Amino acid sequence: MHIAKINKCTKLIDEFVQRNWNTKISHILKENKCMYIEHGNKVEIYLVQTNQLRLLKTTKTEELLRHTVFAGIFLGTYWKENKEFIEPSLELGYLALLNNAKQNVVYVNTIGEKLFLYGRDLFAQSINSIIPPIRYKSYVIILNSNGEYLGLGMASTSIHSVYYLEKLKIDNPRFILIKNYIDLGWYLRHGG
Amino acid sequence: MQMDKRFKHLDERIFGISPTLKAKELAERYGYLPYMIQRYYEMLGDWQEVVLLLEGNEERILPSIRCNTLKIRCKTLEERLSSKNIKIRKIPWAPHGYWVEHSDISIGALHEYLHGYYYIQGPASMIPAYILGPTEKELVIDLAAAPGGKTTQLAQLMSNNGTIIAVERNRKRVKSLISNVRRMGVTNTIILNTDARKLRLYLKEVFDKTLLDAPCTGEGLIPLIPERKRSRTMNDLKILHRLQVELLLTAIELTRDNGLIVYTTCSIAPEENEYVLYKVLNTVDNIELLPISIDIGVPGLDEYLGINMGSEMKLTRRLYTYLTGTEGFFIALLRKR
Repeated sequence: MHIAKINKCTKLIDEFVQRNWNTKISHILKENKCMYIEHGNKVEIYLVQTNQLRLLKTTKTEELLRHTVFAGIFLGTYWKENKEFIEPSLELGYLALLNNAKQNVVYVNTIGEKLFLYGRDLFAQSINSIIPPIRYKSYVIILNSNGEYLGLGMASTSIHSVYYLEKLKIDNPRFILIKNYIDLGWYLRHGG
Repeated sequence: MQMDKRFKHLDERIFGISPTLKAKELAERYGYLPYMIQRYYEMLGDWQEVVLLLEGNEERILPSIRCNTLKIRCKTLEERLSSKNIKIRKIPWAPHGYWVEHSDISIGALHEYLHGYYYIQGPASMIPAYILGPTEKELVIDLAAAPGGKTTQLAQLMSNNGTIIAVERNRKRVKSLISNVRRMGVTNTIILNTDARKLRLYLKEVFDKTLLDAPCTGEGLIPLIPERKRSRTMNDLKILHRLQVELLLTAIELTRDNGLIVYTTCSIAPEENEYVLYKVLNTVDNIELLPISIDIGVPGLDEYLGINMGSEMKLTRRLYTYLTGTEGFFIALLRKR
């Protein structure tokens, strides 16, 4: 049994986006509402367009919310006891990308793209270029050489410049630079 | 309960059908349950036509995809697939549909699939969303939504505007519905995990348009799933028929006056199609059948087993694999008065 609630979007999401990708999505969060679906201590956050909420105003909202398992755009999950620790969804990374992510962005080559979509980590040699800095333990947006979004990784070291990346690729090409956090292959592997 | 009594004698005739020797022979030859073959004869009225239907079910149906314009231009998708040596051909009646004539790789494993640039969808099952024709401001409900082919197509036609309520009773199937909605970049949808029949308690006359792709025996999918030749008994058909009637009555209650309802199944069984409509049209008086704008298949049955289903039943469409090269399918468009 879960509980769904509609409320203003938590600023924790905007802070998370700013911390990881140095951009803001506060305007999107303010224009819309968020739906929070609680499963015990776990809370899923969904971004819902205001006009979609029209339906909820015309009917028995509580009845509808009782059966709601998904709405709009899934942003991520947090735990009640540690709200700062957000697990981002694939969509949150994409939203940050569309809103001009200014750091922690990586472009991979064709081999890297294939490996990543199979759920594998990324070696330094798989990376074509970056939007620096890449910060240790930050969530990193992964793009292919066409700029198409592949998913999110987690940086296993910091890289502050393209020069340092090129040096790393020569010195230690098999160094695991980005750990796979979630990729589009998830839809095949876990999507059902 | 009242309705069950009223149609009792017709139910007995329809669900009590017994196979002739000829039907038994053909059933043995093609691996079907005998009652199914007898029904095909009653539908088509000619044993040669029945053999054509059975032969058609032995043919391979080409796989097909629907280009997702929420994420990519169809021209760009054509070029990308062509560069991977995948040969596709446009489906005439489906503006975003393509037959996949050749592919060395499984079309469910391409990066373009993961990006949500297309959905693997039977050509016949692309038709209902086009027939319903949702617009960008409307409130639409999909009453049996998993795995999400039609829900994501509705969202595409609405350019992710308006609102879709997608309902799925089966918890396991909700998972695939959510996954497909996310993969295809759909953002205007609310998913409910509940029995659609319960919605009549609190969502009456709310929706501009309603899609009911009813749970069915899948008798139209025999070319894709040959096990269906023997896996559904007449009793299964009877149970599903009852559910389909209840769901269609629910669909009518949820739709506002002048709203449209599309009723479809991936079955060619009259018990799941014309007979469902017959009962509903003879139970409520605020609903009418409308013609279908896509010219495919043949008209629905206005008579079955000597029962006059009504001439308006010819406004519905039946798709047989041997005539259309698609999965077997049934489509009806209704308007609430």
